[in-house]
Amino acid sequence: MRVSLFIPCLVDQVYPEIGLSMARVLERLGFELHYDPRQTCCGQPAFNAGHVSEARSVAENFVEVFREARVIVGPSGSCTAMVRHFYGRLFARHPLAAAAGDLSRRVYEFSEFLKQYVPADRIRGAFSAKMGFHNSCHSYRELGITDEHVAFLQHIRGLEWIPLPGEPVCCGFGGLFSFKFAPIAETMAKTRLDMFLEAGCDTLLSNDPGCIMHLRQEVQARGLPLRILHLAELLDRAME
Amino acid sequence: MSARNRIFEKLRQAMRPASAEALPDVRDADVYRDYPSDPASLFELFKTRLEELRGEVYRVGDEVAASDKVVELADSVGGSVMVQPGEPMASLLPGLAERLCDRLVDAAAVADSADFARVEVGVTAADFLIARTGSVLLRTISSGGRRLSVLPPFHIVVARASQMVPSLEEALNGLKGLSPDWSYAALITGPSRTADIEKILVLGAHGPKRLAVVVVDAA
Amino acid sequence: MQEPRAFLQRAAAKTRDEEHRLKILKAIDTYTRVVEQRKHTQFRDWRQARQLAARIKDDVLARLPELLQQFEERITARGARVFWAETAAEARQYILDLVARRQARVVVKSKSMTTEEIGLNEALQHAGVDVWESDLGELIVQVAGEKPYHIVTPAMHKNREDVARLFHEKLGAPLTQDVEQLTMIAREHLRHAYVSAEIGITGANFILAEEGAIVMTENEGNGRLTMACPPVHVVLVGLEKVLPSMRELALFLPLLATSGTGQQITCYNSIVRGPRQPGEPDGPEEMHIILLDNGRTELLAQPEFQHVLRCIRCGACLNACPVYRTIGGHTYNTPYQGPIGSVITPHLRGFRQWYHLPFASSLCGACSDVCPVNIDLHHLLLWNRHRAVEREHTAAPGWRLAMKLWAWGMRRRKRIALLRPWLRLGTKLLLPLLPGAQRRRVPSMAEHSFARLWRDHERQKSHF
Repeated sequence: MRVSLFIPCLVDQVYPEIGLSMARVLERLGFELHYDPRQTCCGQPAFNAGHVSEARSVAENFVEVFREARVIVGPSGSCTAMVRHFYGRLFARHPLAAAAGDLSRRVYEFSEFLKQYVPADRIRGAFSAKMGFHNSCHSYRELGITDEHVAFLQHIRGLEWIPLPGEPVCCGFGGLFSFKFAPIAETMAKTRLDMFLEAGCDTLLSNDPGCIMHLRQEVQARGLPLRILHLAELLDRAME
Repeated sequence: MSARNRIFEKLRQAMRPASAEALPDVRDADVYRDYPSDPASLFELFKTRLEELRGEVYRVGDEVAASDKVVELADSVGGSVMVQPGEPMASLLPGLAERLCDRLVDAAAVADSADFARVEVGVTAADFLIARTGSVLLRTISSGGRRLSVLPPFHIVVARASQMVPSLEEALNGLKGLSPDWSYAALITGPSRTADIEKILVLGAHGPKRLAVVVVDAA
Repeated sequence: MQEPRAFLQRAAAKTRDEEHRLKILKAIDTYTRVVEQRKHTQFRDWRQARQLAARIKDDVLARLPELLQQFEERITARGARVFWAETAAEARQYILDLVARRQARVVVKSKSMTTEEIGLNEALQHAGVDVWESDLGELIVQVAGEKPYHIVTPAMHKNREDVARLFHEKLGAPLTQDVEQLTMIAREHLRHAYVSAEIGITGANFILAEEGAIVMTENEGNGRLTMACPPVHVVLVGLEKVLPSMRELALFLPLLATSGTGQQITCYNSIVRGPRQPGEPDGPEEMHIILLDNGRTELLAQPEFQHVLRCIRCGACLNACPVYRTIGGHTYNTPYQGPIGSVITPHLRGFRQWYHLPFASSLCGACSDVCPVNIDLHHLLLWNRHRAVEREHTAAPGWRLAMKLWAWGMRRRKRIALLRPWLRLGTKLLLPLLPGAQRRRVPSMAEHSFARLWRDHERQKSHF
C-alpha cells in the first residue's frame, strides 16, 4: 500500500525526527512511502487563532498537494482533526470544497492507521519504560482515539503500561494559547505532568507533537525525571 | 413600542422552523437505571433512598399508631408543635391534639413569621411519595402553607401508603390531576443540606434539620 | 486598564498561587468522583439522556414566543405580574421602583446568577437597601466583599479556615473550624432576615409554559424561605429557561442535580404558580416575574450559537475545564465563568472588551464532554474567535501582521526554505526580550527541516 506522509509544520520545523521515526516504522511494516515536499501546514495555527482567511490560504496548498493521495498518514491527532473535521467549515462555498471534503475520508492519525491496517502482533520489539499514555485532547475528542488504539504496544517487551485514572486531561498546549497565555499553559502542564509522576511513570507517550513540545519545555524547565516520547519515536526505537 | 413588544419582535425574527420530527415519548423507565418495576418493593426503595439522605421513614399499621409515632417523634425534640389544621390530618392522626396538649400551637393564632419561627416541629400531609428518589411532593394548599414544611427545624410528613408512586413522572402526572388552585408545590428530598464549605455535607442549612415520613398502611 | 490585559495579570497571579490550585483541585476531584458515579447509577445511558434534553430544549427555542406567551397568560391569570426587560438596566429599575413603592428596607435573596448579571446587589445597596444573600456560599462571598467564584459553588475557593476567620471578623461569631457550626452560624444569622424582609428575590431554573409556573432548585431551603415569608416575591429569570411543561421536569431535575452536584435530585424543588391564592394559609401577596433578554435574543438569532441557550447553568463545564481549575472563577471577572461564560459573555457584553475570553482556552473539549444538554462549547469558543478576528477586528495590529506574514510564508515550500535561517537567527536574538513564561514556550527550530532530512534519507536508501 502506498502511503502519503503528512508532516505537520511543527514536525517539519522543530521535530523532524518524529517524522523520520514514523517513516521508518511504516517502511519496516512494508508500506511504500511518498512524501511531497510542497506540503507546509494544514492551517490549524491560524484557524484556531481566529484568522480564518490566513488559515484558508495555507490550507488551499494542503488540499492541492494531497488531492491525488489515497491514504494520508500524519503523526498528529490535532492536525488530523483539523483536516478531517474543520476543512468542511473552512472551505464552505469554496471552489476546493469538494476536494477538501474528500480528504477527510483519507487522512489518518498514525495510531489510527496502525490500528486499521496493521495486525497488532506484527508490531514487535523491546523497549524498557514505565509508560503512561497522554492522549491529546483533539485525538481523544475529535478523532475518538482511546487507549485501545495503542493496544499493540502490549507486544513490546519491557514496556510497563501504567494506566492513568479518569479522562485524558489537557496539557495546556492549545497552539498559540500556550504562548499568549503562557502562565496558564505552564501551570496546566505542571498539573498534567504531576499526574504521570504520581502514577509512577518514567516515560510519557503522546501522539501529538504540540503536546510533546509543550510538555518537554516544562520538563526541561523544572528538571523533571520524565521522558516525553512520541509514539513513532518509541516504535522506531523498539523495533530497531 | 414597549420592551415586551420589542422582545417579541426579536424573538419572532430569530425563529426558524422547528424540526418536523415529533419529540420522542420517553418514559422514566427508559431513562433511569433504578426504575422500580415491582410495586411491592416501592416502600422499601423509598425508605432506602430517603435514609441514604438521612431522612427518617416509619411505617405504621393504622391511624392510632400514626398518632403514637408523631407524639414519640415530637417528644424526641421537645418544643412546640404545629399541625396542619383540618383534613386529612384530623383523620390521619386521631386524638393527637389531646395528647400534645399545650405543646400544640394553633396555626390560626400564628400569623407573623417571627412567631412562626419559634415552632419546633411542623406536621403536614403530602400529595405523593416518590419511591425512586425518596421524595415527598406536597402543595401548600394540601399541606398547611408554604412555611409549615420549611420554617420549623423538624418536619414530619404523614401520608398513606396508597400515595406512593414509582417515579417523578407519575407524581407530576398526578399533580396535574389534582385541584389546580394552588400557588406553590415543593418536591422535598431529605432534610435541608449544604456542602458549600469544602464540599462537606451539613444538614439543616436553612430548612429542617430533620425530616421524618410516617407512612400509614391502612386504606 | 483594558480588560484583556487585566485578565492576563489576574491569571498570572492565580497560577502562582499554589494553595489556591490545590484547594480547587481537591474540591473538583471530589465533585468529579461523585458525579461520574451518579451518572452511571442514575441513568441507563447518560449520553442518551442528555441528547433527549438537548432535543427538548431545541424544540423550546424554536417555539419560544408561543411558549413565553402561554407562560405569561397563565401565571398572570393567578395574579402574578410579568415584566419584560430588554436590558439589565430595565430589570434593575423595575426592582428599584418596586422597592420604593413597598418602602422596603430589607431584601432577602436566594442565589441567582441572573441577579449578578444585572448587578442587582450594587443597585440595591446604592438605594440604601439592606441586601441579605441567604445561600451559604453566597453569604460567604458577600461577607468577604467578593463576587461568586463559581455559578453553583460560589465559595469553592474558601476553606473552613477562611470561612471561620470571615464569620468571626465580620459577623462577630465565635471562632470555630467546625463546618457544621459554621453552617449553624449562617442559619442563625439569616433567620431574622427571612422574617423581616419586605421583599424576597430569587432566580428560577425553569419556566413552565403549560402550567404558567417557575421552578427553583436548591438544597438549603433558603430559597423556599425567601418565597414563603416576605410579602413580595420577585423572580428574575432569563427568557430562555423555558420547558414546555411540568412533565419535562422528570428529566431535567435529575439531569441538573447530577451535573451540578452529583445528587440524584436536589433537596428542594419548588414549583411556583403565583402569589398566595384564596384558600392558602400563607405566601406572598405579590409576585413579580422579570423575564430578562439582555442579549439572549441576539444569541437566538445566530443559528450557530442558538443552541447555547439550552444551558441549564449546572456548572459542569467549569469543573471540567483545566483552564478554570488553573485560574479560578474570579479571574474571568464575569457573572458566568468558565467555558459557558467565555462563549456567551462576548455576545452579552460585547466583543470589544471581552473578546479575550474565548482565546483563553486550549480548546480541549472537556466542557463539551460533560455538558448535560450537549452544547459543543469548545467549538463555539472557536467560532467566537473567528468572529472576534474576522468581524470584530479585535486582533492587535502586531498579531495581524504576524499572521499575514506566516500565511505568506507557509503557502509555499520555497518561501519557508528561504525564511528558515532568518527565523532561526531572529528567534535567538528576540528571545531574551520576552517575559520568562513566554520565552520558555518558544520552540527552538531544528537544524534541518524534515523536508531536507527526507531528501538525505531517500538518497541513502538509493545507495544500497
